Amino acid sequence: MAALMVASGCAKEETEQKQSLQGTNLMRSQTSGTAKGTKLDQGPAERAADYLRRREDIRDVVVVNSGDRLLVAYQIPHMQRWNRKKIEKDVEGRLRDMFPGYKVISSSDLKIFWKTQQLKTKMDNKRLDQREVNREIGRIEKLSKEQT
Amino acid sequence: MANEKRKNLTPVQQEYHLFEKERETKRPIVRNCARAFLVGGIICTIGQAISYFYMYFFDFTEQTAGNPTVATMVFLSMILTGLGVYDRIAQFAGAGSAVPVTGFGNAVISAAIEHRTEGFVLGVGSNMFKLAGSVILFGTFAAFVIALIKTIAIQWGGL
Amino acid sequence: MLTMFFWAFVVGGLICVIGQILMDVFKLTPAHTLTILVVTGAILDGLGLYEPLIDFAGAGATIPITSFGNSLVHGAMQEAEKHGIVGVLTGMFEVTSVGISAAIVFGFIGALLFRPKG
Repeated sequence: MAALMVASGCAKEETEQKQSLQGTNLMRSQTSGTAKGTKLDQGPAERAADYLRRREDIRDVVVVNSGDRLLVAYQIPHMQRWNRKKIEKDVEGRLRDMFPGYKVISSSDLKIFWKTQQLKTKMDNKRLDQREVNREIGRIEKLSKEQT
Repeated sequence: MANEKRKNLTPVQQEYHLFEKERETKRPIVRNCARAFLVGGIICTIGQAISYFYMYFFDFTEQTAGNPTVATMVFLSMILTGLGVYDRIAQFAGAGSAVPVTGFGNAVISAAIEHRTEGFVLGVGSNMFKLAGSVILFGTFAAFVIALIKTIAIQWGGL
Repeated sequence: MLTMFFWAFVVGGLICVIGQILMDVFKLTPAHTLTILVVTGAILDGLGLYEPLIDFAGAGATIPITSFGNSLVHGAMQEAEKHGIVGVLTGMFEVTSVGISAAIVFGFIGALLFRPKG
């Protein structure tokens, strides 16, 4: 644990320096976060996003919830990607504890992140109803479970 | 050969010989490594671009994009090998073009093309893996042994 | 994303440099070099070290031949988790690395399309 914190401390400076030089910030600025324009209740999504934003080992977060499902997509700072599996496990566990009644789907995969962003934007703009959102979440969940 | 020659030389000459040899071989190693780094890096960057392409335009995740990426790289390697371009890259890059999967593809494909005049069964079929066979053999066998050890360790050691 | 390209370049390049050193300094043939790299990849995956490298460097770790060993061990381990030691055997027969099957398929197509050069 201590080693992890030291590593994250060293890595953070480096990633921050690099990020200012490149376009990753462009991608996340408008689209990350939660769907604020939708009529559906996004309270749990807000709480999950708040928690993840506070973590040092997570960079960008997109969260969508609908019914009893909570879809969490996030990106890990590059230097932390060595610990990707560990972080994924930890995040999944914490979210399960935070939202006991929910079916949590979490992923650090870039494709899942893009897909979740798309869904979130759609929810903002087109006012999808719960059934449609559920179907999309199901589709993304299936994709995230795929193995090589 | 070198040893026989060296015995006829005076100690000073031998020393010079060693000195000369050192000087001679050192330079290409650094240069070769730089070239290998550059070309190998570029090939991997192209691979990364292809995998982002698959992720962006098709439903592939970071996990699943690896397979179509490797297949595409081998396909590109086939085109370049067939046109004779890959050999020229290899002359420049050394290990930089041999170590990526494109190099493995090139080994298989060039052997297949070269031996097609001997027929498809006897020529292509039996010569295809002349160069790449050892990679497959040892890769598969090593994987088998390692998976076996790991499984036993997990089952009995409760890891 | 750009960071990913950078590290793919660096890690992929470094693996190739290791190959070049094996060839130049240790005077190994290309076949020996590639074999060593594949076996190394398999060992690293057995120790659980190759997967983090892929997470970190993306194609920089999946494109070099070392990933053959990694994907073969992975396939075998997947079956082994389901069926135990027998699974290692059946898993070995089930999985091949895409690189190998792609090389076979495209090698044959290449032989159909292209003529040998003199």
